[in-house]
Amino acid sequence: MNSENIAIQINDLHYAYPDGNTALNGINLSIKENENIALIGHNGAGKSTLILHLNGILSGSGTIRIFNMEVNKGNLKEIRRTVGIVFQDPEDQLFCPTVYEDVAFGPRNMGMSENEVDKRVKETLSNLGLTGFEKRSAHHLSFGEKKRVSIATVLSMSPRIMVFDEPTANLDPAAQQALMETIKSFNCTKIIVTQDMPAAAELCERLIIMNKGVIAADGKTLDILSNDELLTQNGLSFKHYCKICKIISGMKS
Amino acid sequence: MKHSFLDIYSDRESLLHGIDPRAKIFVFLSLIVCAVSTPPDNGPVFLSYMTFLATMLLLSNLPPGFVLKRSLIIIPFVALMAIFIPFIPVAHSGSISTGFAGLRIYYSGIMLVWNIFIKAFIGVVCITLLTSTTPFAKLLQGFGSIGAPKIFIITASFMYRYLFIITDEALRMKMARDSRGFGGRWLWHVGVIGNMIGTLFIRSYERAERIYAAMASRGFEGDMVYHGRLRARPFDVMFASGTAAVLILIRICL
Repeated sequence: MNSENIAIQINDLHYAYPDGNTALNGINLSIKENENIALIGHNGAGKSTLILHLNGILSGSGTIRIFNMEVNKGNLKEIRRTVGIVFQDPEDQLFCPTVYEDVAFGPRNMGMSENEVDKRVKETLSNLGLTGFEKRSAHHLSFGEKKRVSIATVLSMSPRIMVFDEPTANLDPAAQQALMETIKSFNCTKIIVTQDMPAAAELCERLIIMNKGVIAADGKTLDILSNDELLTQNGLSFKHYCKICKIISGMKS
Repeated sequence: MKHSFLDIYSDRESLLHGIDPRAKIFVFLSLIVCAVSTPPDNGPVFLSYMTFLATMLLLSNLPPGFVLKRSLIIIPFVALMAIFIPFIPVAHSGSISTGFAGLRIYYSGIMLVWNIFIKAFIGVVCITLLTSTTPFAKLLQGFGSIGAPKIFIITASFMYRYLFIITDEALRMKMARDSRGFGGRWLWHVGVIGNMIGTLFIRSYERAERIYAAMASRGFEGDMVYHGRLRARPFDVMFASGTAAVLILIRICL
């Protein structure tokens, strides 16, 4: 494999929170460019801690390389331009008075001129179907709209790797579907942290299960999702969901 | 949850809405300075200020009842400050007896209360007119571009963004508390409310950490980059200098 094409390379990553709780306990992972990865695991498995390492918000022991560039204090600017994270709660992601300011925040920090920033913001908003939202305040948007604007704030930096933390959580089914279509349309390496197995199956060809700070399984999404023993071991069985699907399809036929 | 507005009506259209925020800040600040420096017994000048404010209100197309209601929030503060003043003895001041426990009301005290009240009132009407005709983001931009310290602008901007979120959080907590049949003695209430305030504080603190992570992820390195793109038209300059001239004339000549 050509090392040029490796987007993320993690070797022996350990991390413990200041209170002594071990969150990551030896992560080894290699992700190729343009791969779509679903990262699943029960609450507290270490998923969020892992993604915060990808752009250097947290730093544990071990090495992380992003497109062959080691994550360290000296190149955080470059790393954060490359890895965009869309956080779970849009209220945390949107902190500016208006949508425009929020979407412009990243490009401005990248040092773009005001004309370029303006172009970037308009392009991004129009790509996400948010034209006309520029002057709105995040406080007055619906949850689904906030979620889309959150994505816009990261997309405007044109990252090569996009990380989504629970993108479909708390959305109604129609908004979930719309958001998944949007995510699908992005042409970059994607990591999707989720509890939503159908979304994982639809968006990602590769699936990683985390449990107690280590990678418990890594393989083709459909292979893992059909291995109920493995899912049960990691507290992720979704048999109840399949049961409902079977009942519904039985009723229809 | 609830949709609350600090700057309700600020997206309307009127002559005053259309004016550059810096011009408006200048005009209302001028009025406040003029008003504060006017001796309290100069009735015609205060009457002129009120006429000036009424004209601004007319130009702003805001419902007068709304502006008045907003302006009345000063009453409790002024009342608290001023309630005892007329009873404080002042030498060489005329007074009348209240006929109760030898208390007398002193004329100079009444003048002082009037002084506090009218100046506070003019100030609050100015602020109400300014904030109701300027969207909050524009207002911050205006203050930023006339040299207000960045740290204030950033603090105000975050406060504006998160005030309602914290309020919503508090309301949700109150709902959860009341849903579990909250009742009982007063002392018990105090304890529970104390816990709620503590929880709210910790949650806000944790949220701040998450917001910081989101900011850092988008390349934040400690300097908030705001680019004001305010463009003053000749009309804005004319409006600001014209009204300020009128105010100064009122202050000096009447």
